[in-house]
Amino acid sequence: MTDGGRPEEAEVCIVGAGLAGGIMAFELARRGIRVVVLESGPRHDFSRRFEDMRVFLRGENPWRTLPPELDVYTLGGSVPYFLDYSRIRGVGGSSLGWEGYALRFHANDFRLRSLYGIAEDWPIAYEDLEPYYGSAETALGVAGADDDPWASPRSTSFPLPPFAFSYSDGMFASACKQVGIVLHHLPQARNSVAYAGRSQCRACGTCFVCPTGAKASVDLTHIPQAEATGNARVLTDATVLRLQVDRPDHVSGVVYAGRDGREQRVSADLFVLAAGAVETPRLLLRSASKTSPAGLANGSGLVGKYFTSHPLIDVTGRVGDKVYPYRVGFSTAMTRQFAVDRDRASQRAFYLEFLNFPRGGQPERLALASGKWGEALRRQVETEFGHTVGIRVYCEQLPDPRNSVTLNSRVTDSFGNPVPHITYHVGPQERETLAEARTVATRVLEAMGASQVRSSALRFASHQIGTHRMGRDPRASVVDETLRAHEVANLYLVGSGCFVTASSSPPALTIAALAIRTAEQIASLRRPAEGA
Amino acid sequence: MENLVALAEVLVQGRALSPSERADLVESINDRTLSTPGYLSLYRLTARLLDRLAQTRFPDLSLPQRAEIVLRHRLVPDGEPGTSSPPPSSSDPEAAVRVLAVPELIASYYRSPAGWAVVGYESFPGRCSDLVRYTRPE
Repeated sequence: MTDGGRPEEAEVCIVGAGLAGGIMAFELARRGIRVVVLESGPRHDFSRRFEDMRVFLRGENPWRTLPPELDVYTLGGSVPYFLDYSRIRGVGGSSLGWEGYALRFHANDFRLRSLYGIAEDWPIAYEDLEPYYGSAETALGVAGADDDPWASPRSTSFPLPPFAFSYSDGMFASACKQVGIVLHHLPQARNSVAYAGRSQCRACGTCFVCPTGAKASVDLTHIPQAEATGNARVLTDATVLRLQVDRPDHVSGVVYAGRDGREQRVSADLFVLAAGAVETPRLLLRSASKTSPAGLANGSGLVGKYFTSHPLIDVTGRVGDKVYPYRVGFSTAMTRQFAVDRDRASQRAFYLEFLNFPRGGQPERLALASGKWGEALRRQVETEFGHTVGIRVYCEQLPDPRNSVTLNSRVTDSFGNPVPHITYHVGPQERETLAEARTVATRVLEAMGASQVRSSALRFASHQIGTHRMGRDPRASVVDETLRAHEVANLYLVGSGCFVTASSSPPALTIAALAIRTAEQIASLRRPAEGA
Repeated sequence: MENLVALAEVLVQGRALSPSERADLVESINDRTLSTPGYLSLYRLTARLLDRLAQTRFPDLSLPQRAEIVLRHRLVPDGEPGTSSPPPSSSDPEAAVRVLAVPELIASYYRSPAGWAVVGYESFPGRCSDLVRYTRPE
């Protein structure tokens, strides 16, 4: 915290120490730019990771921070989109709990309007982002193979060798072949071999809490490096309450509060909001002023609009042979066959993940579901275990103007601020695509000889996207292609909120690539003589 | 704790647990009671109820006698799995045990190393291993 109430000063103030904020902090600090990072949560001490793992294994959330009132939200729309496990406060942010899947978007994902006449094109192309994808893969340590027939061209190899296919992947591969589907490796930011001072994955099976540090998270990869430059300071338990402007197009400072509620201020030349696709628009909307009555940077009215995610289902079945699940906590195989080559004007993209950890098949789950006890229970668990196979479907969702993050003034958080209100719907085409994907997954499972094939209820990935979209037209977007707010010259909004469309691939690697690109552009403006 | 282990023996295996199985179960129960408010008092209530129903120390009964009490007083869920039961009231300790304590005891055992051993796993989520094992059958 600042001493004696003296305002903290920096060249760049970053709000949020998650994936985007952590990468920005390092990329700026290593170029000699003085950075202050304000993080609402604590440092989750790495030495406690095994304890955190035990908490997770009890079915509780080890990343939950106090007070719970800080994370209150309300829901609207036809489908509830729960935020409880999908956002993490603290140094590392959501990268603490992510699955680690690090896929590039396909080149077509950036051009849906041009190619298919739907949604909008991004103001940048895959080719613009390609070198930054490579940098992000190197920084995070992505393990992968060049066996994805639907991958867009890449100029660099994966920095780490892929994880071997699992035992059950071999069974999936045979079944996929029978029904004309190509299975390939799933790229992931997890150490298949020791890398960048972090250990090889030890197959602990609890990737939501990686106790060894083999999974990349910016509390281990970028924040320590940023601090080691001497140019970056991270203030924890510092919740930003609002941004202050001294003129309509210029932020002069941010006001934050610690747990004691005492307000303090940081002034800087540039500000970067990296608080996620819910908190970033919330902060902008809360920073309304006489000159920006609809919220800061919101002349377009699009701040908080087009909230998007990835609808998903699990399709499971029972096979006669044992598949030996739960020996790693991540999947090793997928197919993007349905994510690229299809008429996306009428069909959403989807990809299949072949699960090494099907839901509901753990001994504990089998025991509770059996309704038996005593000797009969033991026999049931022994007999049933290891025969459940599962395929997860991630579906692309197109931006929907009905979906949004707004402020709910009737409910307040522990600082007395309006909480976010999530309005969410899933459109008919997404539902049709999920039905198609269910049929495809069922075909694969039946080719494996599976019985009792069933689909889970509709759920959603922890991917929040689109609430401060980028574009060239200030009337139709919030930030430009460098992620600078159209209306506020010294304000950048990073993270998946800037995505124009969601792809069906997880957003993390694209968040990272964009953050590196934006940091480079900020540095070239602030240190032009040194080059970016 | 002895009462809980004596009940768990009836529920999870239908036999006496080995010392290592007991140790795994006790650790799992302790983990829950130390971390989640309400479980300590639930388990105290369970222990008192068991002694009352047994009219002696519940662990002193033989396994068939314990099983008979569990059956007679319907301490195990009798509906289809997943059937929602009404929340137990404080005046119905049998229901509290049936709806809350018994499922948690079963879960505690089957998520512990002893539970994973039932399915033949020495390594499992939470006990790290290597990157070869998952590629092969056990």
